[in-house]
Amino acid sequence: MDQIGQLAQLSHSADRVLTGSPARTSADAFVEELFQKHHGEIYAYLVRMLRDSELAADLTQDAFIKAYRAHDSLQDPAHARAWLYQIAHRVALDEIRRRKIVRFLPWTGESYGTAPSAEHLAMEGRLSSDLQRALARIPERQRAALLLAELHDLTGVELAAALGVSHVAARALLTRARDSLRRELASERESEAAEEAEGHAGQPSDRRAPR
Amino acid sequence: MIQLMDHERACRLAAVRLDQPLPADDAAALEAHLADCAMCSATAAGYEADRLALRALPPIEPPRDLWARTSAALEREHARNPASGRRAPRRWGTLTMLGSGFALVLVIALVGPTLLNGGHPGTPNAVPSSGVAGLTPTSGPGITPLIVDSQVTWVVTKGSTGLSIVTANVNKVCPAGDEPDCAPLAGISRGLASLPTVPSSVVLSPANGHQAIAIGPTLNQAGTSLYVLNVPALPTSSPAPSASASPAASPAGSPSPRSSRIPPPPSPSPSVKPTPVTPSVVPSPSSAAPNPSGPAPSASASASASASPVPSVSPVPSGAAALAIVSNVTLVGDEAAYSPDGLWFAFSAQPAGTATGPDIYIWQSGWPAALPITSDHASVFSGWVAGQILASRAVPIVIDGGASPVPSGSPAANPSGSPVASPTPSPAATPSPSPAAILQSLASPSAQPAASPSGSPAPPVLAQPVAFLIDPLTGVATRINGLDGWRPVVDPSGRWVAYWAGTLIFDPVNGVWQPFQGGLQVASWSAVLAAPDGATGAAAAHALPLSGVTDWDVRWDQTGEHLGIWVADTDNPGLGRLSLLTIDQGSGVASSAAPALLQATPSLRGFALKDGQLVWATPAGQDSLGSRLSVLAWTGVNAGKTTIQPIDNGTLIVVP
Repeated sequence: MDQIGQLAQLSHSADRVLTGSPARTSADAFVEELFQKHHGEIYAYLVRMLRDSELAADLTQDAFIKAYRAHDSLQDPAHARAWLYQIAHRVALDEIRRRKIVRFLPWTGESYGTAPSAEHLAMEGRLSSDLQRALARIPERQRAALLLAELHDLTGVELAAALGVSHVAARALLTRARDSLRRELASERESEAAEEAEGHAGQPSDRRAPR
Repeated sequence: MIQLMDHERACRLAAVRLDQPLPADDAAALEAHLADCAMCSATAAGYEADRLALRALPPIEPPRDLWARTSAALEREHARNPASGRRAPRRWGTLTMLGSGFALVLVIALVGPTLLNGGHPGTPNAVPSSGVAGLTPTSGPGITPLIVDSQVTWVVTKGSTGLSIVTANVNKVCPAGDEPDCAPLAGISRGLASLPTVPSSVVLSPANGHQAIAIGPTLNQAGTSLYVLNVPALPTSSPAPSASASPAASPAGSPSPRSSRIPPPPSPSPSVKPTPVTPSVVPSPSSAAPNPSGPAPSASASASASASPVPSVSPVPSGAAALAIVSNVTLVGDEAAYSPDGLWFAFSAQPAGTATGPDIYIWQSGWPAALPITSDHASVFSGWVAGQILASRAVPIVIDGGASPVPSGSPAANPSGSPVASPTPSPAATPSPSPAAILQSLASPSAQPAASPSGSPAPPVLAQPVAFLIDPLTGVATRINGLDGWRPVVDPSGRWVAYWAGTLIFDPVNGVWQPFQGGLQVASWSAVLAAPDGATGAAAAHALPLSGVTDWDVRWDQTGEHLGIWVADTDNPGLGRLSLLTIDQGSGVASSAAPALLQATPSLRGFALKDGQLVWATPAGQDSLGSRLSVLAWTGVNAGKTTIQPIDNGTLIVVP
């Protein structure tokens, strides 16, 4: 049974706990409060998953829309945070999947986009450490597990719910993520060292495309 | 028994143990392996290092308009699927307060009306309100209240001398014309100690909100007294105040244990005792005891501390928790304020009924009384900057066929003791005609000069302001050479300074300097700090679009993006007009692209300005109502207002 289904079996009203008032049962009140509590961390998670602040803002919005549509499926508000992370995680994976498809489209010589914004460039600059480049190269599910466990402090149960896998699978994913990050970091540092040795210190080291 | 393990398993367990405890056997085996295997030990250490590095990644802040975007998307979602259970868009639910701190966080933006067009045709049009300008959604259907998350605090009088401090949450404000949609504020009331007289203003300590200083008339005397009050803590587990919350007055009590940053009630031995400083580097031979009847502060500019007529400072406990830290003085300026850390309180005053000129006083918890930190009778406190007192002083211009600075006029000694540059009128600050010409014209028989003790006409005295900093711990004063400004106020971000630039004229009746010719302006704080002289500092300043200003109160928001200016009416100094200007962060010019959020709105003296929120008290009689508290909150160019019910009996005091 999927995690949302498990959560849906629990009996409490989300509104009752989130608002402290059984009278507030509407979806908008629910989403408003959910947003107030969690929008910052959801946005940060999506930025780190996608390395694009503008896209992350759009996807944060999408995640809350999905939460709005599916608010009836959450019956235990104690799991609201993990439930929201699960939604955000799926939104992120959908976007990454879409990007992979788009990447194989032939270039026609036309540009549909615009120049990256200053904010986008600033965010890219902030994400340009070797750690973050390495993080961007590990498989996205591993990356998600690592981010959620280390930066977003999800417990084991919450991590499993957010990733939509079993507790054991979540732990295994996390362990693999640590190993992947270790190897990517080593690779990253080797590349930097090689560039310095070749006298190309000014060249960007991010030569490989993220996964 | 400890089992041997291979490298792969050891590395995997080294990763696993970061997330969960290992079984005892595995843990022991791993430790044994790592003790002998440098490669696996390095890998294990690497996992730990990666974890620390991950947790040290910089935080990522969401864009401020994220709620506006999400809210608009929710509205569209509802429009596509009306059966989804969403309520009417103009009736957003009041957000539960998610924190009880005093920090004001404006987190949510207003949904533009264009996003709502067509979805709810029955929504009445909004009517723009006078006084609030520059609001984007001033009209049109479907206007949504601006959701905010903040608190406002005010004081109301009870009976003749009783006080209550009231704190209310502000959950939403409404665009101009839609204020009726935002229920009037009501809050939780806490009783304060009774004072001998009704105060005119109350300043809350920023340290923890459990201490306040009330400023009010001295009983049966003409001057003003300052009283320290304990402020009872807000109920920690109480629900957010709401319009239906009944006042829960409690007697003035001692601070709660959370008030540890504020020292306990006054003790006889001050922890730090300041040494009054005379910020003149060149003592004037004529600097003797001040002449209370004379209009020549220059003659007493360097009076020593012992010659300073210290106001009555005998502690006068009033009620259970009120202590008079200074009594029967004339307060000068509106800038009496706590330091940002709440440890110090500073103000400017002179003994009531004298014309000696003001000095700066400081006080901290534990002191029985405020103490003067200057003794030149010409210094005015105007704020705090990086733990130091920001002040200004009038340097008289002596005319003898031309303007020249008084020898003792340099107000501040720099740490090295080297001579301080003479105050030179700056191009931006110097009106035309010159001070010399003005003085000579004022000294003519057609003018109304002050009478000298001998009865012969005495020429009025003009002065040039200079600014300086005083360290409250050491008393060391440092002249700000690049700032020839009067009552400068630096924004909390340290980017801008607002001040009066121009000449001052001495009021011999009240013994204070008044702005004469010039105007309020804004300059880069770093530029004036770096400037070698006032002319250089003023060169980059920009005049504010206000005229006829003689008495004012200027306050910045936390970001330095907005400047609140209250200008007193000439006929009634307790009344005035309040404006909120947007300062262009690149140039310092009051931005024309983002018009003032509030323009010359009638207001009582005293207002509060925090990030995204301006609070003031309207004079009684406005809209045929009693005095009431108004709140303007904004984000970007979107703004809204809300109010509390008019006060029919008693006085309403906004607490900054």
